Amino acid sequence: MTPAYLFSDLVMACEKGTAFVTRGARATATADFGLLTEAAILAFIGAGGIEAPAYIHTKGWENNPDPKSIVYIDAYRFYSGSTCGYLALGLMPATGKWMIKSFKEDDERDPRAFLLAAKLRKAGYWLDGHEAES
Amino acid sequence: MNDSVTCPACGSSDIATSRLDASLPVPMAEPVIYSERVDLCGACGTEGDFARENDATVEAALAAAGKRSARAIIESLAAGGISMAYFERAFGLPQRTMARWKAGECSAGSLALLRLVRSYPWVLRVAERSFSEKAAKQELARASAGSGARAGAR
Repeated sequence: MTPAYLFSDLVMACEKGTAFVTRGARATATADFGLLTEAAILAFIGAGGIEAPAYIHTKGWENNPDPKSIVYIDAYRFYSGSTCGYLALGLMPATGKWMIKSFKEDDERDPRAFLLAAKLRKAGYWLDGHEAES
Repeated sequence: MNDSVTCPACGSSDIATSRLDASLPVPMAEPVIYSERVDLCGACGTEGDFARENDATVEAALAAAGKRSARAIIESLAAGGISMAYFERAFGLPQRTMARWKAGECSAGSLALLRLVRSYPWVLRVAERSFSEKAAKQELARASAGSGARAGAR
């Protein structure tokens, strides 16, 4: 499966301000990433804050009220610093605007995180809880 | 129904607008409470701030909270023996910089610095020694040993 959209188009739309953030996505972006306003979320994406976006899947927008058109939603996993995130987005044909449908911390950690932890542990920079207390 | 805005997702003008009390976290301060505008599209169920009113409200509330937070941190540092003069000397800041911060002339960058020092006061000793790598390592080791000793005492 391939993404329905070019990720770079979303980044450009965020830069230009032709994207919007749903209430749910804004709430989790605030709680999980400390992005407190819609403008801050769009500026973050527009500035390349979505590091190493990895495509997950594409699904139809389940709330699409127009049965004549299909609206796709792409989902990505990404990094920002030490946090792994989940982003879902789509271009709304009725308005020409990009929708940030989800923007939250991802519970399913990328295996690369464990590799990095192993490297840090080996180098002595990573202490697990029980090691730190001993 | 709200005729002045349309849904950015489906273009419908069937929008119900309401206001809810919302809370935002502020580091080292009480959360900010503000009145959040919530638009709900009757056609597709999308919820959001379609008129983009919330950002200005949130920014104003956060600015006020930031000023309160800066004052509280400076007072807390002073209570812990870190004077404004010492802070300014360690970081090479012009005199009376912190007095201005305390009075409310505090940028996001200065607030971030205050929060950093409030969390890790030993950073001041590193700054005092011109951020030398040796000083940074020594102070980090000393702070780690201190927290280890405290953990062991529990």
